[in-house]
Amino acid sequence: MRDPRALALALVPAAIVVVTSVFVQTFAGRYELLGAAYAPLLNAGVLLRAFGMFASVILVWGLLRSRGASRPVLALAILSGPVSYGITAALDALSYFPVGQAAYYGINPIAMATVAGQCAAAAVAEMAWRWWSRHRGREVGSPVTWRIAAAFGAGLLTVFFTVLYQGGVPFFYVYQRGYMFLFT
Amino acid sequence: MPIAGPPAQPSRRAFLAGLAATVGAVGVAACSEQTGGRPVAVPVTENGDGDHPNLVVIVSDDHRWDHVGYHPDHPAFLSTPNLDRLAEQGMVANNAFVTTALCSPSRGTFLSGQYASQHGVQNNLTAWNPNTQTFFEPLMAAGYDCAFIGKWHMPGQLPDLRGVDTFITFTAEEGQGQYVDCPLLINGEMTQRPGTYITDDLTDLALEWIDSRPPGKPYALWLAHKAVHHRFIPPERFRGALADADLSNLPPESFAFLSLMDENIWEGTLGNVHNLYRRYNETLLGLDDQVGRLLDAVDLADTYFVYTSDNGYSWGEHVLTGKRWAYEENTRVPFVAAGPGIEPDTTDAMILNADVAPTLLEWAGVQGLPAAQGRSVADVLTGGDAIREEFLYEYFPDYPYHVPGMQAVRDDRWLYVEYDRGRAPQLFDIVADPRTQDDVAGENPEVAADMAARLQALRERVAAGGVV
Repeated sequence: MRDPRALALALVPAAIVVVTSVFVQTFAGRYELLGAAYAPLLNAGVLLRAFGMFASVILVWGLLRSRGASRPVLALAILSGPVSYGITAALDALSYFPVGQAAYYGINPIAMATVAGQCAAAAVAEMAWRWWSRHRGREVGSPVTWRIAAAFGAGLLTVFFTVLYQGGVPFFYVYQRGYMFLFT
Repeated sequence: MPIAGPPAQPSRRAFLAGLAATVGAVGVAACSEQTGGRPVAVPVTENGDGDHPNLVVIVSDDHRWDHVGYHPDHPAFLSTPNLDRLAEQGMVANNAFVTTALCSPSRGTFLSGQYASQHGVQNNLTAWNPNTQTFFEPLMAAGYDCAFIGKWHMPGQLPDLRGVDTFITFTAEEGQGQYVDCPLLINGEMTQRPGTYITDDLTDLALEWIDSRPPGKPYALWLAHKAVHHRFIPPERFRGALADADLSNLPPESFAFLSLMDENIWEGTLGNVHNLYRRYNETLLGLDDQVGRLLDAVDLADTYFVYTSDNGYSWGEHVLTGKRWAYEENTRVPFVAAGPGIEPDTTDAMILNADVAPTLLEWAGVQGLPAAQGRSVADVLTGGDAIREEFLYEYFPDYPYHVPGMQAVRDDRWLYVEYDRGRAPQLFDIVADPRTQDDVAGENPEVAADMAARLQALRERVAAGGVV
């Protein structure tokens, strides 16, 4: 990579997911150790982890764009959170299921939704960055284009149908049918 | 709302009636006392003659044992006056358990009296074997009118359930059903149910079915509710009823968003668990008043009435939501039975879901479920002695839930659990540590070894089809 700082920025979402995962796994149930801070810390931990999985690209997108990050680096920023979740989830699933099934776990509906969520978040961040850049007199194109709008809409719709619509139950059954097709 | 008439099955009924008569005659000659833990045989008539009591069983979903008003440790905000009324008239079992704390396997066990490893519905993905015999068959053969109303939720195609005149169930959401406007399959005909709430709707159908029974003919009603399974949608009349409830009863290891942990992420509880817990209890209020409607409709002088659940539910214990584990919150279920000869009381005797089918048959004075592995607890429910000191718990992996396969043995003091995939066994002292927080296997190696041996013996007995 030409810009190691950009690469590091692109990996921030992954770092959030990994650090919060370790924190939650380490301290969940340790209420005697954490005392009154137990519930607030654990709630913060799981919510921050969810943010890391679904939308954390929003933290780094503008910085990456300002640094002129390449498309692969921008793609890495979108995917590093979801992929780190998928990998840690698949590794965790090895405690419960054989290798093939654990690998399939890595592409579960939550994992799919995280990619979509990060795409939608990147679209929002791109709009904000363009608006901010234009405000500062830079020529970066319109903040709202059909591509950005499409990325935002498609991302939100995918999140909605995979995990929000009816509590994610219908898509969960689609995923389970895939499991049965592959493994039973 | 009219219920479609029973499907015509004259040849099967005639065959089963003849079979039952033969079984009954043989039973009278050969089984004048307890054999292999099975009920004492009594003469079986082709049609009910008034000596056969009616049977009503209500099985709810995910209703944990301590969330009933009559339980001494029930949440202060929860009131279940109708279940309490049933408890005041019947026997409350303080130690009722399921042999697998998961919907489909547990339902298979209720109906067949067999362990999940034997009836084959090992998780929510393995199909019901249509050759599995249920308690309905001998009941129908003995002249009972039989109805299955409510949640079937076992994988595979819906069976042409032998032994029932009326089969009402739902297929929405892979058999889980939906709380509002849930279409029902009524004797094979899909009917839309706009404007209905499922617990009320199923109770309406059950009451209509009871009302339409011919006089003098015994009946057996199985009413399996969706409530109080997720998505915990209470009826309109109870929405928000517990919005201000004090939830300090929740365990100290719980926290509002524990639903976002990988262990819980598939339990349908995404979001603030405290809100979901309130809705769970509001849904339970709706279930309770429908139990009351059914209780009002029967005469306990000639009807046995049972209320229980398919499994319990964790609300933060062990930082978990859901069921499946061998922990108390998952395996314990409410169990109340009232009816002829049952005096108001409580029993500490261990009762299993596998015992329900044999018990119903003994109450009916019917034999004919030879594969059942549970035992009749009819005597226990009239104050008799306990029939077992321990039981085998089994759980089979259910993709993608983060719960390992496990087998356990539990007695009055210890819970010993062996897990799949190389996890170390655990031992809990239930008396000293009722929340099963501390694994004491390392400090009690002799107890652990003894429990391991007992687990193995139980495992072998169940695998051989033996009675437990």
